[in-house]
Amino acid sequence: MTLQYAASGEKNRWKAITSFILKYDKYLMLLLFGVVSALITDKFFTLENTTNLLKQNAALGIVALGQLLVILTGGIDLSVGAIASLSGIIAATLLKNGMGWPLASLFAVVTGAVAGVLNGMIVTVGGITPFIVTLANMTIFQGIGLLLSKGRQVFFDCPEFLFFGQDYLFSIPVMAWIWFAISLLVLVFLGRTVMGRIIRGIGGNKEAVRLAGINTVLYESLAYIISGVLCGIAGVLMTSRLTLGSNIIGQGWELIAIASVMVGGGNFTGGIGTVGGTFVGVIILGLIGNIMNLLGISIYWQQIIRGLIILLAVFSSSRKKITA
Amino acid sequence: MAYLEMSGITKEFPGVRALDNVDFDLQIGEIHALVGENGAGKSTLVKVLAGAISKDAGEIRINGQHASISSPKDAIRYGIITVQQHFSLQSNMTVAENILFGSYPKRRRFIDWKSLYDKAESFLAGIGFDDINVKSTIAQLGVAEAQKVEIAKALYRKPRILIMDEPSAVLPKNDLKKLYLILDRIKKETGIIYISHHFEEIFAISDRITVLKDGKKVKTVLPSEVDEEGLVKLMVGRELGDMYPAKKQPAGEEVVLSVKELTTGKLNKITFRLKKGEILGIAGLIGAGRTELCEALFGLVPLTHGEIMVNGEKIENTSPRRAIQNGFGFVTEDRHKTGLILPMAMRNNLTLAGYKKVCRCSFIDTKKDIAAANEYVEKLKISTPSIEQLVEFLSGGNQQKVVLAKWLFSEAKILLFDEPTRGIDVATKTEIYRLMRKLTMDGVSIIMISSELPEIIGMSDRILVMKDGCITGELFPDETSEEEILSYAAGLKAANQG
Repeated sequence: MTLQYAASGEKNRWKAITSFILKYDKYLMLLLFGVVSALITDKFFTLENTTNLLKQNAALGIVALGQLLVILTGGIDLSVGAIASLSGIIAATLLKNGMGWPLASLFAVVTGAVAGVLNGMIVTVGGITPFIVTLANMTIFQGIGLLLSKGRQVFFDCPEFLFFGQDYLFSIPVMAWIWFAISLLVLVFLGRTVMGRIIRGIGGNKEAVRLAGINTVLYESLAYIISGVLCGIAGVLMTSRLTLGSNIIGQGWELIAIASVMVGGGNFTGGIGTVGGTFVGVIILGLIGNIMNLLGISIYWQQIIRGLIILLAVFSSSRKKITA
Repeated sequence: MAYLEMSGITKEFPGVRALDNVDFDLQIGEIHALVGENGAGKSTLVKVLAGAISKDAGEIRINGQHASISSPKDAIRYGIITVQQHFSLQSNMTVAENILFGSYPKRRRFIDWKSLYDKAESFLAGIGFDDINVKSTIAQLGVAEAQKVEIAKALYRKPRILIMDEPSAVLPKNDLKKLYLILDRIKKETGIIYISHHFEEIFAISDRITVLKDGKKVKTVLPSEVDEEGLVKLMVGRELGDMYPAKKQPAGEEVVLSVKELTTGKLNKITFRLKKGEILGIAGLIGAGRTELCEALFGLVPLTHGEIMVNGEKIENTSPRRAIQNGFGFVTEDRHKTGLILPMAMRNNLTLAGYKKVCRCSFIDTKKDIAAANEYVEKLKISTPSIEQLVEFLSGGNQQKVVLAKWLFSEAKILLFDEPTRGIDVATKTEIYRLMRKLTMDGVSIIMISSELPEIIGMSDRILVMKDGCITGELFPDETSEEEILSYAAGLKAANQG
């Protein structure tokens, strides 16, 4: 008997450990990668590398927040990269034609909003699966971008506009400040506003929300619209950072944004996911690239390793769901 | 020696010991009922047996031999088949494809469709479920039909041990009778584990009854050794007292809701009045249009004709939003599908319909939100570790209370209940009944759909019976009987409604 008790004590300890790991998985992962980076290279904790990391991921981080909202409704937005590219091209084209930077930026963001309205209305009013809608719209938005730019990069001359993407405030990139600010806004939006709560509720059970007398069409669309606006902002930031408008600035973003939400504990079933998790998810994925670059790992291997880490993270959050 | 012996079965989930050293045995040729309140561990026990979840400790022996069951596949190899509480059918496949799933007849390597349909048809006819078209897809069927297909699918696999997890919850009476006949017939070569909340059928069909409570086995008894009260006592661990609260006051004369010639696709000129503080029971068979009536009142189905008056004023409930503004609340039939946001905190579910009361300029006033949640936890005695608990981890009865709290918080004055106590254990049931009665004394009026006739008679101040979208009778609980209600529901009797 005593032996059995000892064994069960051992078992409990293991359970406690696993549940601890599962609970803080993404933060532990972040810590792990931080330590690994610090050990393998002395360049990692330099100010330059840190600010670089933030700068490289700020635009994507903003897009991921929009993606989070859409995933919370139980949907998906595959058109984020295309919207960002298109917004960037609009901004660059307008600047090139001599428009002032505030107005050009505004137009770019409005473009994102319009794209989001399109996504949202087709999904909600049209009743078509988000995957298909945003996949189709992705190619449409890409096409519009190519048409406007004739497939070329769009250069402009407007030094003031470069403030967003290239300047620093208190030695932190302006882009990163904007990312932090938007993260905070979305955090408040989700945690403290009725709209945020309804968006999360729609993913959890749309019918229950509708029966509670709430206009689900409006709020579900809102998630896509906010996603579009954030993509517009990201497009403006990238255009400023690269000093040109290009059709490929947002290429592949949809996948990284989705992966970030998932690594951060989000779930396609809807209603599950957090701003903090998504923020950490973006940093983790960025950090992996950063480490591998510092180590000089070939870009081909980087792809494989990144994929494995996404799988590992999602595996961990799926275990959490089962044991919870 | 019993054919199946489970001994010392223990299963722990984080924070709760779902099964604690449970012994259970089953013989070929018996129906062994498994009863207990929600959360007693009935489903967990049969899931362990069916390989759906792994046990932490204990042994399963079949035919005297140690049986290692660690997956559904293992269980099926031992001839253990489950009729699921939640359907395991492929909704886009036909009835025939589902029944014969995995063992399709073939001709020259291709599926022989004709023989597939023939086989399914003759099998269904053989068990008496011959009213189902084998070529329709599951999605086209109603819940009761789907449940019958589910049962047929299980029987087709010629089980040695058949597990039935609340098969009767959605079946109408005549189908139940057929089911009992089938069970009686296959019993010769099969052991049947039968989970149910309905005492009537437990006493009617079972050979032995095992009672579980809080994950522990209380006792195994013969149906001849106990009566309903005794069984409830074993399940709950105490005496319950009266199931239904006394109908304290005659409903007042003030009419809160008056419905005139309400007509929709399924409803035909429904006319009735609901008085303040009254519980109006709506009886009828499945498909009689009872749910449709609630949906029409709640703005989910457009009216083609007729009018609704609340407190003497004509209103138009064109959407749930309008209905809520007009003081309606709708406790739906399926709280998981339409009542609750499962992965969300209890507190947030509670204020969903009345969120305007806890927000200022569309920002949620967390203090008010928490205060509201605490108030209703107290008022309705919702047992939850915290108001931040996700509702998916609450028991069925507490989930139902959260749904109810949601409508109370939105200040509903006319509450529509569709099967208010489905899948809820006996102790919580009486609590819900008391709560409903208390609400009426606070001036709330209730329309209650129920398929359980004792509940209809026990709770209603007045009963309307529906058939084919019409009201066929108005009865008073003191002067009527289950038989009379049924005869109106089946159309054997019809009254001119005044």
